[in-house]
Amino acid sequence: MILLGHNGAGKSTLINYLLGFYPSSASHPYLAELSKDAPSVELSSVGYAPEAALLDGGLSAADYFELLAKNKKISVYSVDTELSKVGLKIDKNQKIKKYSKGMKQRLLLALSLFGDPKTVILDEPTSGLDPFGKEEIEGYLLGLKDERKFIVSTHSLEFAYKFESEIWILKQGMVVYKGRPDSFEELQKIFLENRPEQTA
Amino acid sequence: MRALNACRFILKSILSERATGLFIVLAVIFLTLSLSLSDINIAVKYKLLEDALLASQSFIMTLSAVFYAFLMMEKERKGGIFVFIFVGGCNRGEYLLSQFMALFTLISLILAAFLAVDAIFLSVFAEGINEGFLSRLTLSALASSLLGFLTLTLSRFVSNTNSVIYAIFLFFIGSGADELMLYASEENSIAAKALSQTVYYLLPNFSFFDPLAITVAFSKEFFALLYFGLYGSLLFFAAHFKFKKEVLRVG
Repeated sequence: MILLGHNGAGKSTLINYLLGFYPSSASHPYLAELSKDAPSVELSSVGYAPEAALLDGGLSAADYFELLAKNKKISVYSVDTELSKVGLKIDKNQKIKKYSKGMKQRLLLALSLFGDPKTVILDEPTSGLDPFGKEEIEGYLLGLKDERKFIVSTHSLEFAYKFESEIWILKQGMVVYKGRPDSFEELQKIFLENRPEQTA
Repeated sequence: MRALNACRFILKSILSERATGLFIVLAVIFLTLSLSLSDINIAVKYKLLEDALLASQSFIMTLSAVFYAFLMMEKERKGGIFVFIFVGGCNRGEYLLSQFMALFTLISLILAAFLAVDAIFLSVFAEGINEGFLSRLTLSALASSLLGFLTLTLSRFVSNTNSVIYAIFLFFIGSGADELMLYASEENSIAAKALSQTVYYLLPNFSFFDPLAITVAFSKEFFALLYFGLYGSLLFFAAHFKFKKEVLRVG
């Protein structure tokens, strides 16, 4: 599933709701509507990649894998293997503050896929990347799309269309479109029709 | 078990901060200052060495407790440290417990480091480390931990900065709770007595951790430990009550 929408449409709110960061649907004005449409997610089998800024620069990839492995009760794993799955060839003990933005996004992807979760939730996985980094990450995700259930929020219409999954367009806390457009032009048209109202 | 893993993760994150190194430098500076400013021979003769060590080290532990509690909350609210802990399977209670455990571990580590240094230092310049010194420094560590718990709990109700201000304010009031009680008992004012009793019994009473304070008749150490356990639990449950209704967001 792909979540599209303008800034503040409710994409991250919906994702945070699915992850249990909101104690109830009354915690945010958008959730009264969004929670009705929200897909069911098994929290014990979720992989999540938030924005890259949420990685602690003082820690290493090994620290994050260790936390997830212990909590998910994964006793046998290799950090190097997990990193190589997303094309990262780095010292697993290197501090994250030394990573480039693209490396951080790859690490987040590796963490979200760790333990073979049933659902992988990605919040703007290419945000802040240059066109090369963006292409690289999107290409990698497109290669994985058939392997498991994805919930991806993005601003890229092109990527949304290529992902060949159900597209949800959100506008001011409402799901205004659910479906799979026949062409990229149709997606563009639907998206632009749902431009947010300008406020002074 | 998940709380322990989360605690370890939080500890790693905190210890990777430069500020942790700064605290060690600060501790060394205090130790050096407290010794160089006093005449070592006089200090040894009048047994002032222990007091200088206790005062400086208690101060650092108090400062550390508030600072680390603040840092933990900053890492939660601005750094989103909870995100991977929650996705890893932790629930809110386990996460909160991991914060309390991490803070207690940090203070315990500082206490252990101080005790190791003191044992060497007092063996060279005095008659070695004695039970009284050990007990006073441990009580100070317990008071510091309780202050850290208080800061963590208050931050669930107010902003991180305000929680530090209120916690320090309550620490000063709580440290003088026994004296306030004594003063009020000599006054004929009902209001003064009511106020002193409220402060003494309801607010965190840090005077219980002061060996010179007028508190209970039986074992001071045992009572302080019991009080720490009970009041620490109370703070944890208060924090949990608020935290379970809190929206988790970053920024």
